[in-house]
Amino acid sequence: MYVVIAGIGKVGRTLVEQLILDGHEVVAIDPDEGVLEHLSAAYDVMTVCGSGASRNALNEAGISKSSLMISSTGTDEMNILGCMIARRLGARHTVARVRNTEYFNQLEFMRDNLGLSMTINPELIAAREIFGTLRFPAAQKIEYFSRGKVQLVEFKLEHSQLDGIKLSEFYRKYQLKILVGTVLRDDHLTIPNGDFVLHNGDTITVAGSPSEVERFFRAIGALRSGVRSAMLIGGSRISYYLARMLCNSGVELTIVDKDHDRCMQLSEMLPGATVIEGNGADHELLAEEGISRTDAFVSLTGIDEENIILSLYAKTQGVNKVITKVNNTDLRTITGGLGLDSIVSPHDLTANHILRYARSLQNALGSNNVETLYKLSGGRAEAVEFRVKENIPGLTGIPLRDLTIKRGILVASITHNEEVIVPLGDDMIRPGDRVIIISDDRRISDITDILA
Amino acid sequence: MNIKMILRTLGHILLTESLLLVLPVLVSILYGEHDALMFLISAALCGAVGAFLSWVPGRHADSSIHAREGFVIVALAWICVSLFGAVPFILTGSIPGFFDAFFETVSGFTTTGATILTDVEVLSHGVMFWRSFTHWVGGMGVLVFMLTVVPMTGGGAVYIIRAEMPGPAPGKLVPRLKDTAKILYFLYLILTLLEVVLLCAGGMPVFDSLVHSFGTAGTGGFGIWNNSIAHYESSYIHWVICIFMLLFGVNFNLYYFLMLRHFRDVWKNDELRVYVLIVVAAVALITMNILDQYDAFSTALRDASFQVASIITTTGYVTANYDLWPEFSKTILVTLMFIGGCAGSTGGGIKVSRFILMKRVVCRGIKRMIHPRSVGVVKMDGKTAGDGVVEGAGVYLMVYCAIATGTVLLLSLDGFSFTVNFSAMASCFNNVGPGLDMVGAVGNYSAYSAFSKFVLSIVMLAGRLEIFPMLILLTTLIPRFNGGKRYGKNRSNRSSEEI
Repeated sequence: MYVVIAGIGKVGRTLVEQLILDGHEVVAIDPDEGVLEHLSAAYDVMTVCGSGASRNALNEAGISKSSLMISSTGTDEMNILGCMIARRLGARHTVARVRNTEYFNQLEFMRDNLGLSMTINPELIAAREIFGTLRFPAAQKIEYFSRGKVQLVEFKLEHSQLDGIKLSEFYRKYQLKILVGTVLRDDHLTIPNGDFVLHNGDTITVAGSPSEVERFFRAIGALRSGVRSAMLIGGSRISYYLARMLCNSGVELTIVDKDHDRCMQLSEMLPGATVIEGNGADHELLAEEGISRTDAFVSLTGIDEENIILSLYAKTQGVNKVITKVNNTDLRTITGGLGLDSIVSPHDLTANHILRYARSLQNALGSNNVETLYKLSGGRAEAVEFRVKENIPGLTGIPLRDLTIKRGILVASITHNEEVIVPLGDDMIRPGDRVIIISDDRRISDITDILA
Repeated sequence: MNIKMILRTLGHILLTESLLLVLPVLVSILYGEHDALMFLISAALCGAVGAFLSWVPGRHADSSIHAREGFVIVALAWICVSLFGAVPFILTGSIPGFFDAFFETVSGFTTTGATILTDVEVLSHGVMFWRSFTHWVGGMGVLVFMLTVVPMTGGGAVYIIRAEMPGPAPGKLVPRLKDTAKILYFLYLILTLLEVVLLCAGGMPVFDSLVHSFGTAGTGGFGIWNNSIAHYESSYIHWVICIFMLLFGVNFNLYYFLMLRHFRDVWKNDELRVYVLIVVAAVALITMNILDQYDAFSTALRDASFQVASIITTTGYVTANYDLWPEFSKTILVTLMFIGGCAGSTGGGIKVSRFILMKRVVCRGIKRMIHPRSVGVVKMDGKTAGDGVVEGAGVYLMVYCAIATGTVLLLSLDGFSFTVNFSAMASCFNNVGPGLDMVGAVGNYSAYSAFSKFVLSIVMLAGRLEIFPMLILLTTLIPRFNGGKRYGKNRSNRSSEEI
């Protein structure tokens, strides 16, 4: 694939490195000549000095023959503008890093109307990652579809009450809007139907909206170690996103930040949380706010070193789950020896996220309606998200039970008008829907491929 | 420093060269000459050393190289290639002396075209072919050629290509280095073949047109007749070679843009405009100046054009003994030697683009004297040239002057006139070929001592590689220049982490 990357910061550099390793042709655009010099010294990449939103620079980078344009400069508007121009100049897919909270609620709108294939928000991704770790310590892997509306959780059944239960029975018993997508037993993958019987030791994938998935975990008693109270140090954007998620799931929350204005803002936006104005490094303050009683401690200040020290302190206070934000790669190797197990790096997560998208594009080259693609169960199955743009005769508007779908393929979820449906026989795919398909090992590059 | 990687790359280079040495074997067989065996021995020797060097570092050697390794590889590669390229000359007995053979090969690979042979017509076809073929390979670059064949991953390769491709800021055409190298060689090959066809159409024998096209393409200048192109009396042949010399003096990126139909980029290219302007002006001045020596205006124009094209592109073919021309014309020609072709072409010299940059820097400087607080950026092709590029060009010119002066000084030991020494230096350093007087259009370099020939060989290499690789090789060998790190002393502990 021919990939153009605008903005060579930490994320940009990681992307260049990985995409070249994946065998793509990469062109980097950045206004700083020194950065480009440094980059081209290390990787076999073409560089163009200029703005990522300038038509000349994009043309020089050969945007018209590019399959993917990634804009990860520091400014949201630059990224959006760059992607819009790139799209008009012939880029097939565009990814923009958009992190401003003001745009958060209109991402979907912007994506559909401004010709962006994907927007990526590093802080939101980091918050989701942390949230996932806090909610389902048992989960091996959590993937998100449709901007977080659909969750795919992979976990192992151990001493579970689901042992020996038939799937159809299970759905009837719990009345949950979730779906078991894949079952991995003794290295053999099955896409189960209603007659399938679960056993202890199976690794299963469950799809559904986050709240439903959580209810499911609660129902089967796998949520026992989930946190009930959390303390966040630093009122950054990650804090805000994370706090919103935690508040919505009823976690008792304390946020500590130094800045008065930021504290006011946070308390306005997050009525459910306790916002404390003070220094997170003040141990008396932390003791006063009950650091020893809290289930989880998340340090999210802008300074990596401070985060590490705060987390170490929290460990000594007996906090069960300690999560540390560390962006600097060098520092992360050092923290390995400190006993800090949960380290979150927004830059890495962002780069991984974009890479996954690039890989999914590569996988589905030739079709351009694959939204997201995840490998499940160690690559034995794929979960692909499609956006159904128009009416497809023989597929849309027909109840699923009347369609003949290939064996080994499961329609795991349909997102219709922002509402997540776990499809039953009566449900149908309509134009404008996002559909998640789980398939065993076979390549689905177009939604019509599911039909037998 | 990653010595293993340097050895391996050198090994690959020599293997590539041994493959190239097979071509003259075929030519010799075709003409039924005994030199075929000698070329075969040379190829085998070169291949064996190459294979040994590639084998030494082991399979799992760290392949990361940095700027210093890149420069050192380029410098060493050119020296090695020249050493092994000289073997056939010695073995076949065409040039028995080592320094003579080395001079001739360096002159070939650096596309200089300066010769120490008093009579080239006695050479066998195989030797003549190899002599000119070195021009063709050296023109676009030995390492660039290797890159099209041997895959080189990792970013370090960019230093190699940058050190070998002429010009202040060579860039890539497409994201992958290997693809860029392929595109350049493809364009190079097409233009060369076109010239071969056109020359054949003009009645030149196939062997002659091949050899002369190699010389033109690399802007080298080795001929197969003692009086160079003047041997052919056809005006058509003169004009074809003249035009192709000028074409090979143009930045090859522009041909790629033409291929992509980006005509605006070609039209807006500052360097091309100035290059054309210089050529037209020089031709006009010389034609007027030499008119009274000629019977017809057309022959004067033809010879003036040919000589201007030949000198500015640093080819060095000759159709007229310009030593007999008035001083004014000769001075223009010597000036053209220094200007050279465009960046990214096969030509040598200081390059038109550096002159444009320097002219703009000078203008900015003068403006600043009048308006001390004025701010100005130096632009090139409508884009701002970074401080690095501007500074690089300035440093290059300074080092260039220093080496030029030093060379003339060393040459003067032989006792020839200043004109001869200066023009020999200008001609070799800029990879032109012929100079004035004794080393002029009908002369050669055989009268110089072995020492002077060696100095000129090094100067030719420095000129072709744009000085820095040779300079950096020198500073690497002498630890004192290593930024105070005393590199040599710490080698034992450094090697553990770097090799």
